[in-house]
Amino acid sequence: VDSVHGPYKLPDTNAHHQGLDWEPVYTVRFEARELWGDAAEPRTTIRIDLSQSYLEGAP
Amino acid sequence: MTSGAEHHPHPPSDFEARARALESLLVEKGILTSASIDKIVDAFEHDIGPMLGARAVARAWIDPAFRERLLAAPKSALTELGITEHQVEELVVVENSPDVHNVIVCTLCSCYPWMVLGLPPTWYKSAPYRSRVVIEPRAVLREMGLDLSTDIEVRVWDSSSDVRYMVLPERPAGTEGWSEERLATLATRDSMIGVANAANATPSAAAGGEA
Repeated sequence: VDSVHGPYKLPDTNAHHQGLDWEPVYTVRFEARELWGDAAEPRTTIRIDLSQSYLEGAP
Repeated sequence: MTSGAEHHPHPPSDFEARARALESLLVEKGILTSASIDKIVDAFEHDIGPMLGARAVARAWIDPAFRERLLAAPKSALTELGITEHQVEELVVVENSPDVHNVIVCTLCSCYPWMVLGLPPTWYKSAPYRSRVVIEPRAVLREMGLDLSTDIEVRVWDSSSDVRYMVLPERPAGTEGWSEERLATLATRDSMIGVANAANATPSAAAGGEA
């Protein structure tokens, strides 16, 4: 996790009029290889903004 | 909205029809006037274009203290330039260097830093760009005319939440002593999305005028 933002309204519920769930958003850094395996381009990282409920605790 | 049917031989799409119905209803009920709608559209097309982002980039190139503030607290740095219509909760400015190249995407939809870059280009909203730039950014950038050495790390930023991103491109060589206004002409929209470098210091790019 690179940085933490918010909390922001969780779009999954907000967009469906199911109330406002405020959640922190984490900028999570992935090495391209972790996502795409051997197809990954070299020296590439992807940072994705993910709401807290999208994440699971690391084992 | 002036994208009238006269330009479209085919019937309007559902979205166009819906937008027009909403607009006429709001006008009819006296909630909005057509003039105020035109003013907003005009502002996005002409005033809130990438020139606001370009001004911030040019200032950052000539003023290291401003650069620090732009990277640390983008919205308050923009306020210094009189850019106060932020519209979003949070803006993050990511800086290119000789070793790192940043590129912005919204894989889910079309999140875009409107307040500094104006209206997004059509390709930014297209499924191929959104899906491919996370998988093979170097190939996508190469197709768009930017061939990055493998020595350079590519960082893809997926703005899938409320945070918006803007790239601070590198200052082109050969621009020592240029005025802020002239430098701003080199900070193109594409360079602030990260699919290009800032324009080269060619005579045509310099036509923006020297202050």
